[in-house]
Amino acid sequence: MVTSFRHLRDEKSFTDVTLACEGQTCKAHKMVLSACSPYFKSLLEENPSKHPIIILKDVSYLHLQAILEFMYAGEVNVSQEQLPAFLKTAARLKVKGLAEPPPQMPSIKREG
Amino acid sequence: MGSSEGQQTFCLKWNHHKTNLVEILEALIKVETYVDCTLVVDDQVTFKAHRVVLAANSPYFQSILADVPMDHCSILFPGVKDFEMRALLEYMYTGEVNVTQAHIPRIMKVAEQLEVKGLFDMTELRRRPGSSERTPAASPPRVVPAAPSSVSPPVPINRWPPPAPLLSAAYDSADMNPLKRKKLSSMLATRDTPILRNVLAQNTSVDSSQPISLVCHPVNHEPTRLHSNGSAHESERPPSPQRPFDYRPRRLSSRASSPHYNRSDRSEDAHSPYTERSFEEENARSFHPSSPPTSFQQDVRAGLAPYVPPQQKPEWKRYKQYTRSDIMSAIECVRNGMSALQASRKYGVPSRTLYDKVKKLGITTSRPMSRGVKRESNGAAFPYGLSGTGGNDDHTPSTPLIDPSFLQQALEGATRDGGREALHAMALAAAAHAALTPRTPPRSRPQSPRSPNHDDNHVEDLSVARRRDPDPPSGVIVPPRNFALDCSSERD
Repeated sequence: MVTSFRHLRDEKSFTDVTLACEGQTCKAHKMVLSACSPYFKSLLEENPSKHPIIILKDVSYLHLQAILEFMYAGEVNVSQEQLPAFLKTAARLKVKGLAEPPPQMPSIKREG
Repeated sequence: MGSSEGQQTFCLKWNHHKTNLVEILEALIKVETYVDCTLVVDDQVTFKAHRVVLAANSPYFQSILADVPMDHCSILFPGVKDFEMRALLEYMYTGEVNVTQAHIPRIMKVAEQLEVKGLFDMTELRRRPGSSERTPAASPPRVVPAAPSSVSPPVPINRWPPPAPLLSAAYDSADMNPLKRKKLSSMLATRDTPILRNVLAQNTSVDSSQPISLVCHPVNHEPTRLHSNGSAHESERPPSPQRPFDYRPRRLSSRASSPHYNRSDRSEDAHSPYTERSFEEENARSFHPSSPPTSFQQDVRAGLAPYVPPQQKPEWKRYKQYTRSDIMSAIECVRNGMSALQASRKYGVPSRTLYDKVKKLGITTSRPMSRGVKRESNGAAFPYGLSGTGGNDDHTPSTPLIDPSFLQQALEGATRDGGREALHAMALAAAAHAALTPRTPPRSRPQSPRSPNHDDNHVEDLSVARRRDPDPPSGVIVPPRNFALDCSSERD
């Protein structure tokens, strides 16, 4: 299932939403976005358009790609120096699994 | 008319086409007609817009919308406030918008992200390291209160400092080719540097709620449009000779470092006959407004009519700095009764060329047209479009060797004596004669059938004409504006 989604994304088949930032665009599936991010879910619910274009502010294209990669594949490689910014972006977009700290993290944070 | 009647093509041109197009869009958006996209910003505020306008004003939108086939698309802008989008839309549709000073940073930020032309370019430039080399001649975007009446002339402090030459460089670095330039300017809309005519600069204590306008000078609307880039439209503004000298190098080429136009630059401009013509002539005119005789004599010295003498052809080429539409407009004006000289001034087309075109359009003579004819035509004025044949035919003396000062006098005399209508009528009659000699209209007044209706004080003029050429109708060639040009060329 996951691989087929990924395949769909690679092929851009049935994509029904365009994400744009930093002058570049990438296509995705509403379903995947909604499933992985309450932010996108509410955004897409509020705007029931056939193929909306979402222009994201203050999001680096690199990070967006990484986030999409994460959404579709469940994992992504991000370089160490990019990580904080990436996580910040993910938090803004409320990406499940990236935005909320993982279960084991809170304990550490509380201590800190 | 002539043998080439079948092949002749005519340009039907509406001078207000561009204006109309722009205004229509503005009107359409007001009633939300034909809108094909919805912009959604924060708080579910939606704006309707035309994709074509968005694309025209922003390469970003252009790329985004290029592959969106839907009838109606929604564009969501999470994080963008409604006032920002409203301002940007108004800016995109009208070229200007009034905003409060407090909103400017946010709007500019969004504009930057959306690459809204004008606003985006400026913010882009702000970041550029090279911006230190701005020239003093550059006019920075100015912020002027929208209600200028209440304010004294703005102090020229640069809040948004991108100097126009830099902008020009950014625009034009890639397109030296006039054709390309033309294409760019026509396709991608004018990349006019927006003039932020309001700049906070003028007074820091300006009430932040005071509306300020971000102005992107629309083509043709601003009489004092600055030549900040090579847009072809620039030359459409009727140039006024008295205009303050505000020229800046049209392009930031390395040579154009001096604010004064370098003549050597010109040679590489205008390989096409219809490129824009903007500075050169006006420059020349403002530099040497009153130097016609010299160049005329130069022409005389060359033993040729001032009308496109072969030796000067290379020189001539450099002047072709106007667009095709310019000359078409000019021809149209001439056709409508404007004098060729006026038309040439208005559209920035060299009068010689205009005469030539008018003749070509107006008459299809059996004789070989173009340059040669021009030279021998003794310059009967014929500014009347299609009827462009000169009065009398039997007579094509190679005149033009008349002292220019006399010519001037003659011309003045012609104006003064108010015989213009009469001359006009005669000219028309002559045209009806199907006379074959194409004439060049030297000036606004039809010169050809110079009838003896002059006052006494003009006798002198007539005698001059006679001295050279016994036939009164034979007018004089006065290449009016090019005098200055030639002159300036001489100096360089």
